[in-house]
Amino acid sequence: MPFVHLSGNGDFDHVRLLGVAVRAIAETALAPSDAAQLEIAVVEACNNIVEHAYANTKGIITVDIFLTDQKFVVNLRDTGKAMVDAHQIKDSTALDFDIDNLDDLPEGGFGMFLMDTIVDERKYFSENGINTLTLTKYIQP
Amino acid sequence: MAILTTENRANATLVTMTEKRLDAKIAVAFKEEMAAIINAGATLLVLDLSNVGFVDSSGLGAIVTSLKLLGRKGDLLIAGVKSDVMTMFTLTRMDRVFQLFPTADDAVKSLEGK
Repeated sequence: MPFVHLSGNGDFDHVRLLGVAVRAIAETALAPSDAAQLEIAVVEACNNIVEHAYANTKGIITVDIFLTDQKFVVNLRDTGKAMVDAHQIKDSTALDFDIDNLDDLPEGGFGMFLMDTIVDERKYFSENGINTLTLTKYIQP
Repeated sequence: MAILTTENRANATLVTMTEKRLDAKIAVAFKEEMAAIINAGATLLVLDLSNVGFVDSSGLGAIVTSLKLLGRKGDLLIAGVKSDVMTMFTLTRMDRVFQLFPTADDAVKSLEGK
């Protein structure tokens, strides 16, 4: 089972690099459009780590990629503040806005919704000060 | 360093994003530069994203912030969205909020007479 280990500082410069790297690796197994979407999911996950887990303090983001015939799995780890409200169920309320009402348009809050829309499984757990988010995309035969 | 360049085209202000990525790293700078353009009096804006290959939710949010700042007295059209970036607009329903055009020329033309 191929396995790739990446890590970078928990800042937006490194989030870019991690996103591009995951996309490039994903292109070996997924359709280009799926790999592009996976980059969005990974960048949203990393942005959450930078903004909320590390809250602009220093830390490391670790990205492990596992590849099987059936699945492309991305494991993201951080040692920052744990998410207390990591919904396991797709929350579509991010799209509850009136497209004709300028004041109602959201300027953020899409991260979790995007991850859940793009990947087939999202799992989060926090243990011994390490937070692990697993994003799994099924590979179509 | 400016991430946006502007050019007057007919009655529109064509704003071109020079960077390849509109993400969390530059979302704040994008908002500030757009605010400066809007506060300088531009009301009919065309945002050309043809150089952009990646947009995350921070970047998308920054575009929405600019639309809100412009308010109802103006228009913010978006041109040149690549297919990978279009995914971001469709997944978040923002393809129904913004008027999207294949090219900046198309968008500028649609504003003629406004």
